[in-house]
Amino acid sequence: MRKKVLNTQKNEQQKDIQNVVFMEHLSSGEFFLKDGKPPQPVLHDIGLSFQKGQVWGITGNSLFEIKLLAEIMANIKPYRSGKCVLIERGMMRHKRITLPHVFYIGSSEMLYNNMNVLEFLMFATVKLSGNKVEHQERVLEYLISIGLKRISLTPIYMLSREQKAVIIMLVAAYSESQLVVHNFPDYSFDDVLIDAMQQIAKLIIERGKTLVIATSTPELIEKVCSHILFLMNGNVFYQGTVRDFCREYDRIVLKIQDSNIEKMARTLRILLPCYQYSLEDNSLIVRTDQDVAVNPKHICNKIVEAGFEPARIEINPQKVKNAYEEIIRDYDL
Amino acid sequence: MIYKNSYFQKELRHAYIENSISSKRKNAFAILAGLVSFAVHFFMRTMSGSVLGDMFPQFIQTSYFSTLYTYVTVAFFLYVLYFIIYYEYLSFVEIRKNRWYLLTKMGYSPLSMIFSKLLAFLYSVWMMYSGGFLFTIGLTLLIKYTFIHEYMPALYIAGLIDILVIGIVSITSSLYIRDTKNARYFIFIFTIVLLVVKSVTGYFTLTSDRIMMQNALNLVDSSQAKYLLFSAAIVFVCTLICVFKAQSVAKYYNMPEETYGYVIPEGTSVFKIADPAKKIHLLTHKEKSVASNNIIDFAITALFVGIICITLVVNAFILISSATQPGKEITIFNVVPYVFQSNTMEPHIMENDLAYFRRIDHIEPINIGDIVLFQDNKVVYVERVNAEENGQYTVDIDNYPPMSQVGAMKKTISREAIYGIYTHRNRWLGVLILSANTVFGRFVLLLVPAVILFFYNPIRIFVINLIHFIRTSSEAPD
Repeated sequence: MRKKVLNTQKNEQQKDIQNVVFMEHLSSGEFFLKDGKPPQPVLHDIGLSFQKGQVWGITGNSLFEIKLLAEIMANIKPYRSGKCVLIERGMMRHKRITLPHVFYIGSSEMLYNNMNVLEFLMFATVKLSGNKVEHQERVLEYLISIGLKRISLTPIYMLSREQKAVIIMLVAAYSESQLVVHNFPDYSFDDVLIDAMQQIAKLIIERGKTLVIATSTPELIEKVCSHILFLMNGNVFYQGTVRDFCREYDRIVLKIQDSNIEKMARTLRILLPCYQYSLEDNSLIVRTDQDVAVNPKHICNKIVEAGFEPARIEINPQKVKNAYEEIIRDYDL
Repeated sequence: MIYKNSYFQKELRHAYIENSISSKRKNAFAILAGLVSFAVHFFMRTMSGSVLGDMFPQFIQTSYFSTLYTYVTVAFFLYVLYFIIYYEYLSFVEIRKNRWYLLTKMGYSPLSMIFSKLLAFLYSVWMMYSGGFLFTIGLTLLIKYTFIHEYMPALYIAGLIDILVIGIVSITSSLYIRDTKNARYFIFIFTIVLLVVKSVTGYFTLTSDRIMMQNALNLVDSSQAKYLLFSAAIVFVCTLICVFKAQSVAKYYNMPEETYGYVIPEGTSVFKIADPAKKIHLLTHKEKSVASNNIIDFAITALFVGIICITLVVNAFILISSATQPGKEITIFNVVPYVFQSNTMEPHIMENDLAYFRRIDHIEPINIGDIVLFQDNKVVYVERVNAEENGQYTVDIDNYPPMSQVGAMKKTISREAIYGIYTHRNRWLGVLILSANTVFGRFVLLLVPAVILFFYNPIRIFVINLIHFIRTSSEAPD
C-alpha cells in the first residue's frame, strides 16, 4: 500500500510541471505593529512565479520578510489571503504539514551530531538503491570536488551552522522533492561555502529540481542564483534574472582614483553632464541613469583629453552587491 | 571504512561517535555503576553503628542483598543523570529538531523509526543495567558474603522497572515539551515525584525487606504495594503515546522557538492573527520581569552564601569534635561535644551519637539520675549517678552487654572528679562526624563549598531556570 502511495507521488512529481511556485495577491498572517500606526501585514500583495530549473535568490531590506516569504512558500507557515500554488497544486492555507514535493531547510540542527559528515550523508541516503561502496566513493569524491574535503570526515558537532546548512542542502539534492527551499537569511556564507553551494545548486538543477535560497548575502545570489526576488517593505520590489537586476540597479560605470580627484570631478561634470559623479572613499564614482547608453571608453578618453592621468580606473563589473547598495541608498532603507 | 548505519544502529550509539554501537561505552557505564555501588556500600558499612544503620539496614548488611540493593538504588540515580545529560540523543527531540523531516524526505518511515528508537532504548538500558548487576554480583563474590540467590530476581526486576519508567517518561515528555532545558527539569521533578510515590505506596518498605524480596511475585501483589501496577500503567500509556503522538508530530515541520529579535526593526512588534479563531498572538518576546528576577537572584545568592557558611562551620565543628579526646576535651560555649562510641548508656545515649556535656565547676549541685562526665585514675567515664552520700557519688552504666557482670562498672567518686553533665544528644550530627572522618565524607564536606564557589554561575542559572520552569508550568493555560 505504502509502495503504491510512494509510486503515485513519484509519478506526480515526474510530470512535466513548469510552474513550481506561483503566488497571487498573497498576504501574511503576521503583522507589524509600530507605536501610533495601524497594524500592517508583514507581507502584502505578493505575486511571483518560479519556473522549473531556476535558482531563485530571495533577498530584501528585512530579514524577517525574507524568512517569512520562504516559510510560506514551503507551507511551513500559513498565509492570510491570496493564492499560493506549489508544483501546480494548491496549498492548505492553515497547515504546516510536510509536503512530499518540497524540501524545506530552515534549521541547521537537522543533522545528527554524533556522526561525521560523510557518515551522515551515507546514513541519509542509505535508502537510495545501488552499491553502497560505490555510492560512498561517489559522495566522498563529490565532497572533494566541491571543496568540502576539509570537513568531509569532521564530526558534525564541530561544524559551523553555515557548514551544516550546506550539508543539508546536499542531502536535499539527493532527495525526490522537486522544490528545495534554503532559508537562512541571517547566515553569512564564506567564499568556500558559496562555491560549494554553487556546485550543489548545479546538481539540484541537473536532477530537475528548483532551488530557492533566502539570503541577505549578495555574493551568494551573484554566484548561485539565476533569478532574484527583492522584497521591500513587505512587497515584491523586483523579480527577474540576476543579470537584469544588476543591469537595472547597479548604475556604477567607473571607479577612478587620483590625487586630484575633486578637480577631475568638476571637469567631468562639465564635459559629460549625462553621468552622475560622487566622491566615496577617495574614489570618484561615475554613475549612469538607466536610459543613457553606457560607454566607459568614451569617459576614459574624455578624462585623458582633459589632461588627467588617473592613478587607477576600474570598470565596474555589474554586481548584485552594488545593485543592492544602490537600492538601499536610493530608497533610504 | 564503509558507513552502513541503519537507524537502529544509530540509536544504539546514543551520544558517542567512537564506535558503531557504543558497546564499550555501555559496558564502561555498567562497570562504573557497579563500582559506585560498591563504594557506597563500603561507606555505609562504616556507618553501621550509627543512626544510618538503624534507618537503612538494607544498605549495611553483610549480604548480597545489601550490595545489590545499593546497586539498584545507585543505578536508578545514575540513569536519571544519564537521561538528563543525553536527553537529546535518547528522546524524540530529533523530531522537534526536524531531523526526522530530513530522514522522511530521504525515504525513512516514521513508524519504523519509532519502534527502532524504543527497541534500541530497551536494549541499551537492559544491557547496561544487567551488566552492572552482574558486575556487582562478581564484586560481592570477592568479599565472600554468603551467596543467597532467592532475592536476586526480585531486586533485578525492581531496579529495571524503575529505570524503564524514568526512561519512557523522559522519551514521552520530549513529544510535549519543546524546550530541551525544560524537559531536563521535568525529568528531575518527575524523579522526585516517583520517589515520593514509591514511599507513599509502601514500595520502598517492600523492596528493602529481604524476606519479602525472596519471592518476586510479591512485587506484583497489589496488597503489598501498588507501585508496580502504577509503573506498568505508566510504561504502557507512554509507549502508546510515543507510537501515536510521535507519528503525528513527525507529519509536521516543527518551527524552532521563535526568535525575532535579530530581524525586527527596533520599536516594532510582530503579531499573528490565527484564523478561524481570530486569536491574536504576540510573536516578539515579552519583557521579562526584571524585578522578579532580581528577587530570585538575591534569594539564590543568599542561599548559596548560607550553604557555604554552614558547610564551613560544620567542617570546623567536625574538626574540633574529632580532636576531642578523653582528658583533652575542647569546650565550645561551655559545652563538651563527644561522639559516643559505646553502647553502655543505651537507650539514653546510642552508639555513635554526638552527646553534649555542660562543663560544670566543683560547687554546682549534682542530682540523682544525672549522667555525668568524670575522670577516675586519669580515665574519662560517662555514667549515671545512682546515689550520693557524704559528698561521694555512686555511679554506674545503664546497659551492660550480654555475658558481662552487672555492677562491674559501678564506682564511687568524689564531687571534684565530676566536670560535666549530660544535656542532650544528636544522632544525625553523630553520623555526620563519623562520615566526615572517612575519606569519602571528608572529601564531600570540603567539596561542597568548593563546588559552589567554582560553579556558582551555572548552579545559579540552573536554579533560576528551574524556578521559571515550575512557575511557567503552573501558569500555562490548558
